Amino acid sequence: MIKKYSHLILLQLIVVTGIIAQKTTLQVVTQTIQKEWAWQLDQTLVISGENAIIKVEAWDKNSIQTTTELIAKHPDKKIAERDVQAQKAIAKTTKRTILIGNQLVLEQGMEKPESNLKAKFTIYAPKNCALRIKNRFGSIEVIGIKNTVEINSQFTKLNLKEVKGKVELSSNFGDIIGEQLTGEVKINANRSDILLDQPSGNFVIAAKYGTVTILEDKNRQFDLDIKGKKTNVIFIEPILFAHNFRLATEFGEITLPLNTAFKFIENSQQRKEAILNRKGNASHISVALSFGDITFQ
Amino acid sequence: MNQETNPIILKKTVTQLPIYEPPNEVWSVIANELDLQKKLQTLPNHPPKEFVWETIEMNLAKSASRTQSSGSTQRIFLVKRLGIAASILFMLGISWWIMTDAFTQNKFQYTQETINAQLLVADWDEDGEALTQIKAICEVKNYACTAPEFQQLEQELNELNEAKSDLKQAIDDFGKDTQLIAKLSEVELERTVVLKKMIANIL
Repeated sequence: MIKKYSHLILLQLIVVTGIIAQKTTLQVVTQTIQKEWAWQLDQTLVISGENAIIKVEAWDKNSIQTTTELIAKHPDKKIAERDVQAQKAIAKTTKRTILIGNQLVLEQGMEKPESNLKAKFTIYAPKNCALRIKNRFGSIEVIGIKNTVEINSQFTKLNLKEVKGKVELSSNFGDIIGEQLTGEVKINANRSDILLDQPSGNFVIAAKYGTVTILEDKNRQFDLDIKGKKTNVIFIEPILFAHNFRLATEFGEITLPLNTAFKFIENSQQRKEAILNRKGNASHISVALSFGDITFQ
Repeated sequence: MNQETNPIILKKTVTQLPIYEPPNEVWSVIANELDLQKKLQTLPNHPPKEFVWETIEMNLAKSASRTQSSGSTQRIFLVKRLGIAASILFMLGISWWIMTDAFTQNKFQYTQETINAQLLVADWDEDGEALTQIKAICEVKNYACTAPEFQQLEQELNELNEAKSDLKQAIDDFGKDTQLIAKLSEVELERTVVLKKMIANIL
């Protein structure tokens, strides 16, 4: 009996040993810098990040508080300690801006970092504070800001919650999630998926190589204009009576909900266009795609 | 040496001054005092006993010792004060050292993370062969590779190549990071799809 299962036990041991052997312990060295500034009404908070995890949350105070963590990870603690110093935190104020950021700076004689380097910003700002954020690699989270929010990012995940105002997002290779976004919203996305959860206001989206998903709330009205190339658009449980629809795609499909008053005004192999007209103060949803599908779920 | 300028006038004036007799009590007090002095001189002399001198000597010795001990007490106080000052300085030094050390420790925080090393293996440059094959086919089937659809795919591939290059540069600058590698994997998957479409297009 033992002999019968001995091969199996041996195999399991090899697998387990292999798994254990693959684990590496990284020494994480973190340098933390905290600052707080008094905020003036017309001051914009500008954040410039490189491989940074940025979180901006609105609070009731009339000041901006930042906690910057510069992080280095390496199996050798001394190397992590050395490399964490290659990252520099930026903090500058002018009459109109408060600038926060991080940079990789190799001073003369300094060795090229071997560690995995990252910066983490946790920022509390007044809800009326305008924001301008730039980041390459990492993530951005904005919560509760009620003013202009401009974000330009690459390879960065964007997550905006309860943001209200003039919002302009430009994302390259970074997915966008907007929860309860309200206001004039412009999104320019390349190879980025977009999820709009309970939008409200006026949304203009230009998308390439991605999927735009709309999940609406019956109490929040919105106008939507999507222009997409190689982009799919999905409406999840839409409130059909609340909108006028104009949906078009070239070299794509339109899958409409059953038993609705949608009408195809063009339905060729190359191009499809469907409309739904409502009376009263229904909002307008317009989608124009090439090489992309429009789906109702 | 007579400094008086008018001695005659002075002498005359002095002689004209009234004369007063002292009261009788004054003379009796003086007489008593003189009498006491006389009696004291007639008293017999007695040498003091030995113990008196010993007692005096002892008292003198004690007094001297007290004076001496007072000096040493002062010295002890001085030493004590210096000791206290040194202790305070020492304590301050220790506190400063601890504080400095604490600040140094606050400058960096240390934690540990465990990661599967396999996830960090660089295996994202393994499609060179496919690209070489496409180039080789394009040399033979030039017409296929100049078709708009193929060129569109090629443009897409170039964009993905650029993204791949950016991500590789980021991994080079910021180190191997699972998030960067995950993003690179996404780009690689998209590149694979495009490469397959390109091959299908020209075959």
